[in-house]
Amino acid sequence: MKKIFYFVIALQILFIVVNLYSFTNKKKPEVGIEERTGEKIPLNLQFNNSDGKIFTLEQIIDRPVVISLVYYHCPGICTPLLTSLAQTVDRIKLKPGKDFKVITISFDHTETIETAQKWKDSYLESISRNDISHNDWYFMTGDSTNIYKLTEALGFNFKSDGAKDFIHAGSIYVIAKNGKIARYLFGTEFLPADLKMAILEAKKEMSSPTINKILAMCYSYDPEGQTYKLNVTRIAGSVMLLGVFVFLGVLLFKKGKGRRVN
Amino acid sequence: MNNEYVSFLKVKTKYKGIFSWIFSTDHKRIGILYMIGMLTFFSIAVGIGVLMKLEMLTPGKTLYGPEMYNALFTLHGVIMIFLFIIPGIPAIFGNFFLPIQIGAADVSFPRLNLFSWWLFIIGSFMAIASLFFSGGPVDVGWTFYVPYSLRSTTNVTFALSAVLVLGFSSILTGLNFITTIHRMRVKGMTFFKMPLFVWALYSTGWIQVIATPVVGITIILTMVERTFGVGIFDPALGGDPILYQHLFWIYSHPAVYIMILPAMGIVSEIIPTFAQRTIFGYKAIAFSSLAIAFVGYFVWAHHMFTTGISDTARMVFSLLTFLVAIPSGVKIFNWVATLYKGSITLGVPLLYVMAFIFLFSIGGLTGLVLGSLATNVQTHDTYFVVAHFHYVMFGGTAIILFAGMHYWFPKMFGKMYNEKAAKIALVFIFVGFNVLYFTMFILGYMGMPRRYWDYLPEYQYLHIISTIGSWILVPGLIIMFVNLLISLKKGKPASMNPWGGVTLEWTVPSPPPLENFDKLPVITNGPYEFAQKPENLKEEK
Repeated sequence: MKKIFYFVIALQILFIVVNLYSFTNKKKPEVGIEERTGEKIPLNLQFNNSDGKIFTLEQIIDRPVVISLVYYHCPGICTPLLTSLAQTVDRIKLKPGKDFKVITISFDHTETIETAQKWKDSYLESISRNDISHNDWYFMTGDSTNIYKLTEALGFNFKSDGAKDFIHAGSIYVIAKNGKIARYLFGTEFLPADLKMAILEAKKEMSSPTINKILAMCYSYDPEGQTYKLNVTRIAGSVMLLGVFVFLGVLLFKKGKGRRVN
Repeated sequence: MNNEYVSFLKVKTKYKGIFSWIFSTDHKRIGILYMIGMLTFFSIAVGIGVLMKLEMLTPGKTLYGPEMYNALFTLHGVIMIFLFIIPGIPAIFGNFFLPIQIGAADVSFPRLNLFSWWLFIIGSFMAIASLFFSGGPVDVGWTFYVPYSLRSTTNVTFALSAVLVLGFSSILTGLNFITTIHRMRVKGMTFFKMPLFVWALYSTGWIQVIATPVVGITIILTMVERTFGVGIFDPALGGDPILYQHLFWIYSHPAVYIMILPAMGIVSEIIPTFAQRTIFGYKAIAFSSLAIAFVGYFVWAHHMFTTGISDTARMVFSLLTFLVAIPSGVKIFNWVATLYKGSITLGVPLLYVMAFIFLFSIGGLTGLVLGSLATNVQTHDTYFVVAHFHYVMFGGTAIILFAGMHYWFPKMFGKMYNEKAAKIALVFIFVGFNVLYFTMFILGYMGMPRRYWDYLPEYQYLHIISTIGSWILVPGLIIMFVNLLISLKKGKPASMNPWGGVTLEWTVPSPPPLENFDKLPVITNGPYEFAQKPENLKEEK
């Protein structure tokens, strides 16, 4: 009884220390997304469209725009993200081109517009509604300066994995006409209703904080080569179960000491 | 009845006033302390719920902004789950009636029992205090999902430590009950002569002891990660966010059985008493509690069908989820069979039980909709889920907590309450409940996502109906509580056995004396044998 009491008190003291420490320890995540809702992205950035033309963002963003940042040879979440975005665009009860436009930009500056065009063809083909035109969804590439400025403005932090791929998060961004960030939609799957709500708000140049914060990350993991040296969960689980069996054993086989009324 | 005894409410101790309660090791006083605490927290959380429904009256901003809404639904969830419904019935009625029902003077470890209450209160105040600390109210939802709970700038670490302290309280209570049931039964009270409420508490105790440490470990890992930046769950640091969900639900799914099993135990007490008939399928009900507790450990991943776990895992977990319906069905059918050809009195507790069977059946059947893979993906994270768990948790556990309050109130306080007022309250609660939550099934089916502050205009008329439901439900709750509070002072004195029950608590005076039994009872037959105990049949009025 007393031991348990001291143990709990000791834990409490530990938590207070931990709490104090955690206040002083805030730093920018190396990979992930820092929300910059309500801030503006620079509209003078230039990107190459898949048809070879160069656009500034200002030329495109004359109405609410949905931006997605991917890279085209991505082995992870970029494909599902764009597939889901295409499905959402397909199902949304708004008119592409009139109510909104979509821009997909590669954040790998080594990629070419030929690859971008290939991706554009396959995604536009997957959309079954026929009121979407070729100019409503841009697939673009850019140089490292423009990419850096854009990702920085959107709070999108990514890094190279040392080989040819990147570690990054999945999200789309809804931008209002004046370049203001209206909303972040996290994850790789988007509900048409969410996107509609965000676009309608962007139209009114409002911005709201995220309501559905799921951060999908793209990272390389090789399940066979990577095992834990010390499997904490397994050890903790075994110790716990062992304790429980000992407890049950004591209850069943050891007689109580006079506490029992009979 | 012997008039010379001193009831536990009036007994003199070395402390005076409030200290004679908060330092008391009497299981009955501790039960009442829990009751006061929990009903207070429940009222706060209901108030928050009403505020949330008010905000949802119109799309966009009605009363306050999205940050506030996030904080409110987190607080509503944390209070309702961790401060009310998980400890709920075991801590209140388990403490009060478990020793009496097995013929004991107290629980095995009375001081540990008081310590558990103190931990509960400390944990509760920590949870509520985390609102006012720098960083602002926690906005991560009661599930504390990573990575957001690692990144949120609000005071997540402190809220987590509150949950950890509450977890300790829960483990110690479970440990205490298990030991009491094994060690303290009166002579002749074999396992199969125990009342079914005790069986339910026994199963619950094991879940508390085995499952709660898992959430403790999860919380500690999350704190370590938040504080020292060790990559356990955060993918940016090489961790795995799905691991968090596994660990969290390995506890939190069995925890829903911590919530519902004791409630089912109370139902198994009330029905025989008001049907004046032995329970149908005693052993089946007793073992179905253990079966639910056991199978309940192997279904957790049904909360994670959309996280990208493998198809094999999803199918296995879906199948196992369906298995839980079997022991639950066993109970429901046995209860209904007990009523068949019984001599039924439609007392207030039985009416609450009837409401429970209706609401819980809806909750249980929609649980199957969520348990099957294809429909789960459609309704995942929508209002359908919100409606489902309010039907099982509120319509199940909380309604039975109210039933238990009306069943045992005369025994606990020695006073009767106004039955008419209690029935009127039930009508309001029942109607309000269905208007409030049934519309949420439809909203969810139509695609309204949960936890959203804002919504598209086409959902509005259903949101309005649902909000009106909350305005019917809350007056019902108020009438019920006020009725009981007034009866505390002004109620007529209750006899030893107002309902004609035959379990041991009805053989001691109301309210019971400090050590429960003046003369130890001798147990010769099962707990619900009405015909063989004519002296315990309903007293003449």
